[in-house]
Amino acid sequence: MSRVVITGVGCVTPIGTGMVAFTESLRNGVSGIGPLTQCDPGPHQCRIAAEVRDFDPLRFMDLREARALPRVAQFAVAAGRLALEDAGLRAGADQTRTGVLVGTSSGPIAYSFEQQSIFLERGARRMHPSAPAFAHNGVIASECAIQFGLRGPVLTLSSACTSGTDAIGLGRTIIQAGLADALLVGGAEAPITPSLFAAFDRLGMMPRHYNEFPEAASRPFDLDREGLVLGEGAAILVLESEEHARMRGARFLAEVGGYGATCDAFSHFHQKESGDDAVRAVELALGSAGVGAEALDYVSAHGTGTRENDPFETRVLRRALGDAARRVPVSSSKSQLGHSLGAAGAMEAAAIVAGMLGGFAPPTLNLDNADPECDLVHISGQARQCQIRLALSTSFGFGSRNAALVLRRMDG
Amino acid sequence: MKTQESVDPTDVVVRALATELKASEEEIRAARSLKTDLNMDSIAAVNVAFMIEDEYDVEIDIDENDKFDSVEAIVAIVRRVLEAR
Repeated sequence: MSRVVITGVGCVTPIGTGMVAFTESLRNGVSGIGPLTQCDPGPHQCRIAAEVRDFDPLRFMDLREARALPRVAQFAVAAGRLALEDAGLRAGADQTRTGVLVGTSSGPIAYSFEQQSIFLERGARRMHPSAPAFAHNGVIASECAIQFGLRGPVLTLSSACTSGTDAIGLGRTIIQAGLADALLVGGAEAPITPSLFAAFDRLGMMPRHYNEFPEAASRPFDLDREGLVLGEGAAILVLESEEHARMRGARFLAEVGGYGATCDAFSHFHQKESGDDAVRAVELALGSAGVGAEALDYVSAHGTGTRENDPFETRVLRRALGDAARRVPVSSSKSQLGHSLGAAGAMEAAAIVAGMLGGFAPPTLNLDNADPECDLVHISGQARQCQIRLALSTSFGFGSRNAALVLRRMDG
Repeated sequence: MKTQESVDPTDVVVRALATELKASEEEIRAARSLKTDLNMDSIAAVNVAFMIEDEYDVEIDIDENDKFDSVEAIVAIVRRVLEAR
């Protein structure tokens, strides 16, 4: 079966836009977490977020789109444009066989809430006729297609916090099935809107005692962790069949070597205690990559920093990786990026590629005192200089979903 | 500025049209029919109307879409709305 390769990466994240800035921030352990500014922090117990503070849509699109499009679609367009530039794909590409597969959890929820507010405050006559086309998740992929002239399959998928990982894994499958030669894949999320933020706050999944110390708030695997910090942004990868990439002389960054996805079919909020299906997702990913756990150089953990996730994930990794879990270094980029839900898996894949190219593995910040129930080989505090040839990335999500990706470095 | 009586809305109208239709202000001013010459559809017309509404804090009657087809026609509508308030 054809290998599927990553030939370009673009990202808009709380620690930088574009791979140069993103890589430097990852390497230097920069935190993207700060005071909540996109909505009134007053009513909430958690008053911090990982916002993209410097985002200027006009760098990436015309004023019309900058005014009208939901922020989540703007993130995807921006990251997609950067990814295409990175891959040098547009020139000479057969765009009838290039498509889009973007993951998102909440999609344009902020836009939908805003339209609802307009309706309640100003009445039906002020409802925007674009709303039927903009207030659904599909707008993210279709706007990318329209902006870039991509005429193959154009899809948005929504599987909560595994969305970005699923989009990359299923993108590989679509290319291997011969439905497209190239795809923009990844995730986009812009969930920081008053009502959804309030709901997350009430869910009790966000830290409450770090409002004065935002950079210390996301602390996966640490004893004093209190939860996830809501984040936003997008990461888009250009995937191509190896033949297509070779034919156009593309630069190979990495291969999407394997993918596994399962569901506990158990709960909207919790993974099943046994972790059986999460283990199975990791095993499926390794199996489809044709590698054993002993070959891994690095694990990019889901690592949300919630009380529940981190020990659960530790048990899953120890079971799925066996002896290799005593050796393979693990970190959670969410300590730097916050948790951007459906974009998280894609941002973490981008972070792995950055580490493969830059000779380092990103750190878990704030891991000062590891929880004994999270006894993995952690990369604490600072990035580790190392060569990553083979990496595993895990994602778990609402609906008790599990997904895992295996990425392999390519030299040439 | 916004509340003065003798406002000339032409610049605001042209700017809104240029943004929405991705055309230069010269092209906007030169168009005899925005629908025919610059492919303005009904959604674009609503976007333009909303931009003008935001600028002047007024309501533009979208039912007059049939006349909403040139800078002059739109400026006339806006003038009427501004004078009526």
